[in-house]
Amino acid sequence: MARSSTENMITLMSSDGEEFMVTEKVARECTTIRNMLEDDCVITNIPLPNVTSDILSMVIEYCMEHVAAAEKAAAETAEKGSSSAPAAAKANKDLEEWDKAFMNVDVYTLCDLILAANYLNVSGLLDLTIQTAANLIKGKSPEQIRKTFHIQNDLSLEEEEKIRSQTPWAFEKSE
Amino acid sequence: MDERDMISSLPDCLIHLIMSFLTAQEAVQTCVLSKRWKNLWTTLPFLDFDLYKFEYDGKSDDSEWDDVELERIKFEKFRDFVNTTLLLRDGSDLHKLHLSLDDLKNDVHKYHMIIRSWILYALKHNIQVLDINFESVAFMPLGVFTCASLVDASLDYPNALNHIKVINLPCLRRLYMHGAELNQDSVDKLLRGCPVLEFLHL
Repeated sequence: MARSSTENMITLMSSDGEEFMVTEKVARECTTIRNMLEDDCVITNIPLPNVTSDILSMVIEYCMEHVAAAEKAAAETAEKGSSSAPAAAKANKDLEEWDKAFMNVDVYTLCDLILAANYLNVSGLLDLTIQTAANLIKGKSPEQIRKTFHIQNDLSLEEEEKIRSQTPWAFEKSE
Repeated sequence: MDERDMISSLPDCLIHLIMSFLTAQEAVQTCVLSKRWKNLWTTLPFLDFDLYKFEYDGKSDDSEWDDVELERIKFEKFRDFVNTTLLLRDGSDLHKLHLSLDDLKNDVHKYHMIIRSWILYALKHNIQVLDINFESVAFMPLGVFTCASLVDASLDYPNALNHIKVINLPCLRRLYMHGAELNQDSVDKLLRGCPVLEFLHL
């Protein structure tokens, strides 16, 4: 990736000790890191004890893609004086497609990404992962949801029946 | 094969965020998944009540009912669902209420009091985001226009603002009023009553 030589580099360290060098701009996509940088501008090495290297590399990939897309849009606007609506729409669509492909992960990775996006406060990634998880629940029966997320049903048959009989108003539609 | 149950180990606030993308009916139905999920919906601060998306067994036992009757039955099931959900919540703050009644065409006036009570519930539970799709005005409690917690409001409320005397929304940042035609007095009143308004769509 092309970058100016004056750009600050930040090292992020995952819980398993792996180091990731990123530009300050990419690191700032994480509001948690942005706040740290604003409190102490000379900080260059940030340990992230709650995020494993697998997940951190994905978060960084997401942030880099979104920073690059924003920079490209800004460059086009600067070049032409104004942004052209069709080009901007296409760029948005491309980024949406990229997000969609990025969400092609198993439910464990998805939940880890939700936790990391929440901890690092990357609002776009949190929205994306939360929406993806919700889509996996929508329109499914309780049994299908349990299977998708490997939820162990620790309710006995009697307990489940009791809950259903106490909430008939929620189960108007028979499955 | 990895069989960990990751989603259930997420903190309540993140599961609630996931539920915020579901209808209230879908969210409540997660109560049978496991013990962990049994009561999660009772503290859910985002509720999406959408009559159009509401699922019920309406046509199974008698298909001879006409559309008006079917609509009445559906609304009554929906009404029971909303009432019971609000009643059995644990009383914590309601952050966002989405109420969509686009499907309701006949005898709308009969339901004004009940719809009004849902909005009053939201006002009493520090509602911040209110999103109401229902093209009728009579049900709207005046308290909506003096709600101290309201940050974001989207209302189908054409023209009726012209009759509102007091507007005092100290935290309101965004207001969408679909199809509203306001006179100058109302616009002035609105802008005076919403000191931190950033976005207004009429």
